[in-house]
Amino acid sequence: MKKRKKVNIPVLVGSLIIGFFVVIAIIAPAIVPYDPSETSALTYGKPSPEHLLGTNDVGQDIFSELIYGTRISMVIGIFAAVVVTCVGTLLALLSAWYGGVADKLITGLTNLAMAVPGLALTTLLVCYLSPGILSIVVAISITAWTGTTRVLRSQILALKEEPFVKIEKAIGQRDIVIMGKHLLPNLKDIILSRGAMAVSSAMMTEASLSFLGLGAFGEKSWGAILHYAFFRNGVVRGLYWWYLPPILCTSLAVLGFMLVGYYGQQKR
Amino acid sequence: MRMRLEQLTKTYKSRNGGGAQFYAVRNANVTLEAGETVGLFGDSGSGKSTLGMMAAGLLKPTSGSIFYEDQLCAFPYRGTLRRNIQILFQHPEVSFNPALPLIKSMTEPYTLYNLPYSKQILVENVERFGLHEEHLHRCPGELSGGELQRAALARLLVLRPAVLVLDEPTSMLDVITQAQMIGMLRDYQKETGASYLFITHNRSLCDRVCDRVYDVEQGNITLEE
Amino acid sequence: MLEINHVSVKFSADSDVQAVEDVSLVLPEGSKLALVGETGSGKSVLLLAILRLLPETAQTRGDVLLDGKSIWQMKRKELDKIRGAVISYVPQGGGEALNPLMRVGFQVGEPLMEHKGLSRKEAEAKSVSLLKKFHLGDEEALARAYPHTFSGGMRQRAMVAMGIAADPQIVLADEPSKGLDEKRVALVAETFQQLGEKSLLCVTHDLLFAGKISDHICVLYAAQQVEYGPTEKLMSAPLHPYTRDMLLAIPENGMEVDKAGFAPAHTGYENFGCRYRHRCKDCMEVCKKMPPLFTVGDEKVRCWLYADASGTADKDL
Repeated sequence: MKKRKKVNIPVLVGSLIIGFFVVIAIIAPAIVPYDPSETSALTYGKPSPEHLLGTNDVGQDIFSELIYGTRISMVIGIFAAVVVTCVGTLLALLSAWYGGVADKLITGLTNLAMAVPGLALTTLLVCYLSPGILSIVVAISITAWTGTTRVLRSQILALKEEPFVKIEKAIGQRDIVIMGKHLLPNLKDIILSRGAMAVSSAMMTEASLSFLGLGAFGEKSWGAILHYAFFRNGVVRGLYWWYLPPILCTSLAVLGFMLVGYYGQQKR
Repeated sequence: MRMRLEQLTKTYKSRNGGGAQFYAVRNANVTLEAGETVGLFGDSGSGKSTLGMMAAGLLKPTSGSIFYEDQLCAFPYRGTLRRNIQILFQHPEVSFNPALPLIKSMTEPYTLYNLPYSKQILVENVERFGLHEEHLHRCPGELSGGELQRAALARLLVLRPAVLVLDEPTSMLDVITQAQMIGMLRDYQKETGASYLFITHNRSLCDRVCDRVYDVEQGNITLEE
Repeated sequence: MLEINHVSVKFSADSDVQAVEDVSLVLPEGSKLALVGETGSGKSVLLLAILRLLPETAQTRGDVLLDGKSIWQMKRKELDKIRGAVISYVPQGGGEALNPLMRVGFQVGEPLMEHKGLSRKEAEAKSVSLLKKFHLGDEEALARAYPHTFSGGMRQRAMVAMGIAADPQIVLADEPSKGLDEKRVALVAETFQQLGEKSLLCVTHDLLFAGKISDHICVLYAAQQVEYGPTEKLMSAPLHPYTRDMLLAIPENGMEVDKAGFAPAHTGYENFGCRYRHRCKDCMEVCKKMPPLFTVGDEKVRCWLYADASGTADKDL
């Protein structure tokens, strides 16, 4: 008996947006008109056929910067989200499945991490850790895992009470197998959904950090482009082709992940 | 005596009333001989399911002891003890992992205990319970309550348990399927001398199926005459 | 008098599964009819459909007439006057349908306030006397209490009290004995036996309970009517193999069953042939064609075994 699957439009739109940026990030070297780090004499150039989005204060092509920026923003966003989701899921599993001391410890830790102001700690960490993508990912992840842990912990506690899980215990199945084969597959919708939302939130954090000048040196993310646009008088001088594109790209990418994350959950 | 529950008690701390104890089961004494079906009869909320869970080694008693063939059982059950005591629940639709096709769940008893396994062995087994190969490839959501409960029983019996805790195993099934399930359970019992702890709130079913019955009321267990 | 004419219900337009298929029943004044069937047979859905209590996505065919007037075509205002006052509905669930935030006395008396215009005090007083009919004990205190202080059985009976509070002509009861132990079932049966001149349409899976409270029984299987007849006749000499198998299978009757006949999943109901044929001991070649509803004296059966015995088949299907 075939069921007609209704197309989930928000998820479809979100996926298309994400797909678009992923493709851009992958083929970046092939499509950039200029090497974004190459400076030129044409500073503060307006949009023209040679420079679609003009040039920045040191003559670098903004359009090329933007395309390469996709790579950094996406990589950091996705990497951080993966870390957050994995850590969150692992802690939720240990806490909910074993209960007792493990649960008390992890719940305590979660509450502590939730009480700490995330962005402040992140900013602090970035300043102290050696600069680089890894540090940014660590800094972003340090308190972002708590939401995932909380939600998954309550889901796992509920699943634990289901007859089929009890039967698995009764037939003598090992804990690891139960977790991997019976718990996680039933949580995959939530995990993926929270993962997508984690990307959005990580991208926003990264954009904020980069805007403040704390982002990765070397390659510029969209936030970094915005940093220079602001601090090199691009905003004051009304050079909208410099500050608007990174804002739009960030917003669009965040929207894409949010659509998939939020509306992906509605399947139930 | 196959199994003995002595002074088994389960308490929960009450949420309000500052630490007052709630007795789900209080000082239960139950015996189970080989080949017999013992009933736990009571209303919902009386504690019979809690007692069943403790007997099945899935819930740690607050106090009291469980003896299997005169050996004290530690919680949780392990090894042969774990294999020998199994449980069936009331709701067939959630007795299997909803995310997996049935066959993935059905192979577990074989692999866990290194029992000889082939697809044919599995199919032959389930056919004795009225199921066919095509059922095995479906997910739980595509099967009826009766089919799922029969599959659950088929799966458990692969382990050849000596004790089965049956928590209202037929209350969600129609009368005809119920009669068939009871028939299958009877056949297994005749064949192996297994003992059953049969939990129910249906008086006529209890009388027909059980050799001896314990009354369960608000956590108190008394043997009926 | 309630007439249910060729009613079919589907949950939604793209659902392949029919919840109720072409059911026709007549409930004369004062008669008590039990609709018996297992979960998924469509009986609860039929009840909801009568008073138009189904969700908006449900698709229906046929009609339901009250004293000749179509309930399904009525305007909303008229329907509201009928619901609760002329035809009342007692849902299943052991009284879970009671509002946990309102006292029981108030809820039981609500229909009186709504339909008979009684004041709150009068309604609550009347509700105490209603509860007394059910022998719940200390009814005044109970009326002042909240539902969660009652046991499931007591709540169910309070719900029935609410159902008959406004003195309706027809009571629709959905599984009133479900989940209750023997004693309580007997009490509920007693209450229904005291309904007097009111008509009763009671849905249940419990054939024995149906036997106690009805004068006629209609058996549903897989959304269809398979048998209809006077209670005593049906219980002592069932016509349809399903009814017969059901009666044999109940614990009180010895739990005899054909070990080989198993029901397929609901998605497995093929659209041809008798739906019971996979489990039926008497299955014949002709059963691959859907049997119509044959009339045999004052009974009706959907089974080829009675093709010759019947006068004529019910003209539709």
